[in-house]
Amino acid sequence: MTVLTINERAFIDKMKESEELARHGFSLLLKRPDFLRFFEPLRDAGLFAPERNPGPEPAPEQGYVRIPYWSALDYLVEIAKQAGTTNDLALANQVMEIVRTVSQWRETDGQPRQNYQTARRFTEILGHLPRSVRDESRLHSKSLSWACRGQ
Amino acid sequence: MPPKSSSARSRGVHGFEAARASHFTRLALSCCTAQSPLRCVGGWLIDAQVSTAECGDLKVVSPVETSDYISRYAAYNRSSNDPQTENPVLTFLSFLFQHRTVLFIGYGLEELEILEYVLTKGPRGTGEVRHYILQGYFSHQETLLRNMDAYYRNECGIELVPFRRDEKDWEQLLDVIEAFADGMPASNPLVQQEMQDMENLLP
Repeated sequence: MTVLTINERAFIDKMKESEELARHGFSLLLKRPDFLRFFEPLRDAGLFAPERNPGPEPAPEQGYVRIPYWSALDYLVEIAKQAGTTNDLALANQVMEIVRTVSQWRETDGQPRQNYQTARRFTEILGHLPRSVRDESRLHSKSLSWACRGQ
Repeated sequence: MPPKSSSARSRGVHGFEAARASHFTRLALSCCTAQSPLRCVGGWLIDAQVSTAECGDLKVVSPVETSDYISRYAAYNRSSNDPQTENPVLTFLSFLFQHRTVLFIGYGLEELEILEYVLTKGPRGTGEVRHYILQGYFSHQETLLRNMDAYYRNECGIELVPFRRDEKDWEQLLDVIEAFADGMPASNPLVQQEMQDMENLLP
């Protein structure tokens, strides 16, 4: 279990306050060489929770929607790259679990949350993870189908 | 003088009670009013046995002795970034004094060495961050006031904000606090400030 300093924990608490601050936090973390150290604390803080993956929002133009970009995705892609490069199966499985959880999450009407940007980045993540993790994954094909189709 | 509103009176009473409370309670109150990351580093408060709720109620905790300060403010690991060895009190105080404007209320002459220890051995504020200390004096203590002003400014890097006790003694503090509360109403920090805080937390 990763132990953070008081200030580092305060930093993550700030990220939990709003999507805007979360985006800023992920951006700052990715500039650090030790960004990997924050992965577990961020996950434990719920910053990769499926509810945080944004759905479509009404656009300023009537009849249109906009699809916000989930700020956690860039960080997860970098973690997946790291897991693939170092063949870190434990880390890869943790990333895979996040992908699985978010993909299988359903709205109250039973529909998956529609975000093509999340789907696109998830396919990228899968490409970075070690093959053995992908092969062993019990990710249901239906769960990922919407992701692979890119909506 | 305009009539006092009940809320203003309440704020004033809080300030007055704070001046009589223990060291930690006073510091905690100062932290609360300075919009510090108190909640973020709540571990320090838990260590000090002063919860946020207690801070709000100004509940007085057990008296804190000099030895308690020394152990908590010990400088041997002041700069440690290792979560295993860091001193959470110093981490909190470092952030507080570097990035927040702090108003000390209720520090008396008998506690000067504590204040000096905290401020002279700790990090100074940078940029627009400044620290102030609110203290009451009688008119005949003007020489003392000047000396203390120089002392606080030169030795502790903080600015003395004096008020006269001639007419109402310590009760005057209530009016001072009320005037401050009216002039500096509490507000939520701007997003830009929050982002700057994050950058300061993770240099």
